[in-house]
Amino acid sequence: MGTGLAIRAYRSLLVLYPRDFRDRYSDDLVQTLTDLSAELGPLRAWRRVTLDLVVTVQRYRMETFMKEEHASTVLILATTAMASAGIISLFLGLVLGVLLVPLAVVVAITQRGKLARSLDAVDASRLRRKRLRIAAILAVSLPVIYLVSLPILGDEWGTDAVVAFGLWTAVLIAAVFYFVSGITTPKSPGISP
Amino acid sequence: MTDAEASPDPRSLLPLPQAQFHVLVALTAGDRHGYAIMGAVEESSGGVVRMGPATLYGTLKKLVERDLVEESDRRPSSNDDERRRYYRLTGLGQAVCQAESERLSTLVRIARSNLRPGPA
Repeated sequence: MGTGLAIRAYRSLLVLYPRDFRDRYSDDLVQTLTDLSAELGPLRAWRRVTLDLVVTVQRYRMETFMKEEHASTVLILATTAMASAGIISLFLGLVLGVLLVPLAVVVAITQRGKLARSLDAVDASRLRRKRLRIAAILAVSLPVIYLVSLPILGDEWGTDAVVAFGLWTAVLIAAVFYFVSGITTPKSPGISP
Repeated sequence: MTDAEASPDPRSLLPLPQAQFHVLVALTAGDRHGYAIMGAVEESSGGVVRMGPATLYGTLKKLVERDLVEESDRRPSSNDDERRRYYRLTGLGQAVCQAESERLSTLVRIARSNLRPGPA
């Protein structure tokens, strides 16, 4: 592999690292590979770099994941997923929904402070209104999508019906997401990061 | 607030992860760039510790965040590549490196004493 190609390949692999790490150290990492290649030869340099990449990517990803601001994002996504799965279960007549929906509501209320800390909006009340408005628009569009898809829904699940159900589910998840992030956005102005 | 008030007790940061201690030791010899630190670590460990680039810079990132290491503007020679970043120990970094050295030397002393062959 030519040096230029090897460097381009390594640089493209750096996308696997968390953004803050690669933004800060990409050039240094590439420079180190160049130095290693010059000293050890390309083969030994790549062996060391590849092993290093395999070990550190998952470790740095996990460390980033465990930071509080990311944990809050995961909490919002998990609450959204739980609420959406609950509503879909209810829609399909599954008992699971009876458990999941109240659980999602309890999580959203009890973790409200933690969820709110992830926000860095200058005008939080404006953001709250915007999110709730989007949630309302999406919620209103749910029965519309259902009514529009009625003619293609039959006893047999064809491609059209699968697409319609997929769209309905996606809109539902988006509506729940905006609703959860809307109600957890504080009414008071701005929280500093 | 004075520096002494702001800095944490060096012993509260112990024990240091092995990679962090190796990098601090490499920087006790003076300001170095990343690749030079990597070489110094390999040399001081007799070739046992071979850091990869991401391990090195991940370690440096943590040390900078803990205020044990900082970037240096000084360059040992004027014809050095300007893109290279140099690092140096902070006052806290020196104190932590000293405290970790003492902790390990106590440990080594105990180990040597316990492992010394007794009378037959």
